[in-house]
Amino acid sequence: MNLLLAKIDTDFSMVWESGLTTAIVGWLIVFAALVLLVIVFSQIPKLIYYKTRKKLKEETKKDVVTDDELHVVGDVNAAISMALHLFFSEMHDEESNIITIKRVRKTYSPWSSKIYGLRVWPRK
Amino acid sequence: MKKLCLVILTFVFLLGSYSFASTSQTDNITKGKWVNKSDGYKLRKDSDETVERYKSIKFQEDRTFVLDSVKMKYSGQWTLENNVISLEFNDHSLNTKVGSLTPEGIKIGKDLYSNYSGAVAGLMNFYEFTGIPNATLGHLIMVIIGIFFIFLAIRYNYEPLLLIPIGFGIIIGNIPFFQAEGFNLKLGIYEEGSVLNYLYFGVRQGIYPPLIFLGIGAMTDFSSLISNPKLMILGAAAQIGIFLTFLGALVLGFTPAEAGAIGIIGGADGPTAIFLSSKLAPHLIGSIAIAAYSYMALVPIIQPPFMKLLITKKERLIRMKPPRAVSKLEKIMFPIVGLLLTAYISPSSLPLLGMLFFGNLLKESTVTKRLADTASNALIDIVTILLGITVGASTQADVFLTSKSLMIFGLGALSFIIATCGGLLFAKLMNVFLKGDNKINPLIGAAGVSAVPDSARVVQHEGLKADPTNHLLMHAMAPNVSGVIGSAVGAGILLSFLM
Repeated sequence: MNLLLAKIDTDFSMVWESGLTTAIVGWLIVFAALVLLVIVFSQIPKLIYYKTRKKLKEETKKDVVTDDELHVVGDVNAAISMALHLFFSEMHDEESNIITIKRVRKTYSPWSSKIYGLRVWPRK
Repeated sequence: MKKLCLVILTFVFLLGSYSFASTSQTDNITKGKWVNKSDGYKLRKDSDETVERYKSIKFQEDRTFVLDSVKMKYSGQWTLENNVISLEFNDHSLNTKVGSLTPEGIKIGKDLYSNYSGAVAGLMNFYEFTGIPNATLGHLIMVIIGIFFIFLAIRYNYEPLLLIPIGFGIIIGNIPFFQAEGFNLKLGIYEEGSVLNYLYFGVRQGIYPPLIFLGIGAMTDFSSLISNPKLMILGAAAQIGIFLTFLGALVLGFTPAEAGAIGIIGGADGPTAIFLSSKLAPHLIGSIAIAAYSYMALVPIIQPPFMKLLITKKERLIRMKPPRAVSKLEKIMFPIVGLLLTAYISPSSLPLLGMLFFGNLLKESTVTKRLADTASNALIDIVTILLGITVGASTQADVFLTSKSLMIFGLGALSFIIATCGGLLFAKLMNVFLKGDNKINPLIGAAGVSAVPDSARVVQHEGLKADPTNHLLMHAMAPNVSGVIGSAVGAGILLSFLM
C-alpha cells in the first residue's frame, strides 16, 4: 500500500482546471444528446399519428383524443397475438384418424451408433 | 655423424614435446562448449526487468570460434599463448577480446565460461527455452486468475461467453517462454509477427469493438425505449460514473489520456472501454478491458446492495404503466434519427454509434434478415472469441501485474458503484416531477449503467423480490440500451477532449 501511495504524484491544479471542466462539460454533452433524443422521440409519435388522431376526433366528435385511445398497450397486443396464434394452430387439414404403428427392427452396431458420434456435445 | 644424429634427435624430441604440449592445450579448449550464464539481459526494450541468460563459445580446431549469444552468433579467430586467449571478431564493430585460461574455466572480462560436453550444453540450451526457468511468481498468479475466471463462468454462469475466452486467454498469455531484448521467437502477444500479435491488432487499433456494436445493434430491441423516451435520461444520468472516475484517476496521478481511458470503465461497456483505451492509453488496454469485463460479470453482486441502500421498500413496489406497442415506422426511424442526432453532437463516437444503429436498422428494416442474422450470430460470435482470447492473452504478467493495474481495478469498482448510484438517485429525482401512473420504479435507474442485459436482469430480479408480480425487465431495458448510447457518446467526448 505504501508502495502504491508513494508512486501517486498528483497535480491538483490540472485536476481542477482541465479535469473538472472536461468532466462537467462531458457529462452535460451526454445529457444533452440523450435529452435531444427524448424530445425528438416524444414528438415523432404525434407526427406519425396526426392523421389518425384527426380521424378519431371526427369519428368520436371529441375535442381531445388521449394517447391511450390512440395506442394499443403491449399487453393487449400480446393477448390478440396469442388468440390468433391459438386459432391458426388449431386449424387442421381433413385427416383419416387412422393411426398405425409400424415396428422397425434394426440390428445395433456401435459403428452406426449415434451415441458415440464425433459430433455429440458433452452433456451439462 | 653421431653428433649430428644427437642434434637431430634432440630437435625431434623437443619438437615432439612442444607439439605434444601444444596439442593437449588445444584439446582442452576445443573439446565441448564453454558456457556462461550471467544476469543483465533486458526482457524487452521498454522493460527494466533483467534476467539471466546463457552464452556459449565453441572453439574449433581450425582456430576459428563461434560465440552464441542471446541476440546473435558472432564468429572470428582465436589464438592461445601463455594461457591468454585472444578473440579476433569477424564483425568489425566488435573489438578484440582477451581472456585467460584458468583452472575454473575461461575468464573473459567478468564472465567465467565453464566447459560442458556438446550434449550437456544442448540440454542446457533446451532447458532455457522451456517454460520452467522463465516462470515467475507473476505468471503463476495470472494463471490462477485465469482459472478463477473459468471457474466463475462454469460454476456460477457469470458472463460465460466472455469469461471463458478471457480466462483461457490469460492462461495462454502467461505461459512463460524465452524472452530477451532484440530476440523475437514470434510467440507472445507483444512480439511483432506472432499469430497472437496479428489477432491483437484488432484490439490495438479498435477494430473489434465496432464489429461487436454491429452485432449488439442487430440484437437490440429499442421498442421499450421508443415507447417511453423519458427513460433515456436515466442512461445519461448513470454516465456520471465515467466522469467522476476520470477525476479520481487524475487525482491518483494518471495522465489525462489515461484517466479518460480508465473512466470509461464506468460506462460498463467492454467494447467501448477497449475502443477508447486503444486510442487514449494503448498500454493500459489489458488492465482496463479485464476490469470492465470482470465488473460487468459481477454486476449481480455489485448492484443489489446499493439498490437496497438507496431505494425504499415503498418505491420498489411502484408498478409502471405497460409500454405501448411501437409501430414499425418508429422502429425504422429510430436508428436513422438516433445516429444523426448523436453523431452530430459527438462525431468521435461515430465508429461505435454508426455500427450500433446500422445493425439495428438491418434488424428493423425486416428486408435484410440474412445480414441481421449474420451480424447478430456468426459475426459477433467470431469477434467475441477473438476479442476475449486476445484481451486475456494481453495480460502477460510482466506487463499486467503493476501498481497501475491495481489502481485501475480499484477505480473500476468505484466507477460501477458511482454509475449505479447516479442512475438510482436520478430515477428518484424524476419521480419528484412525475405524477400518477407516470411514476417510475427507481430500481430501473440501476440499468442505466448499460452492461446489457445483465443490469436489466438484476433490476427484474430485485423488483420480483419486492413484489413477485411486478415485472420490470421491459422497463429496465430502456435505460439499459440508452446507457449503451450514452457510454458511446461519452467515449466520443473524452476522445475529442483528450486525444
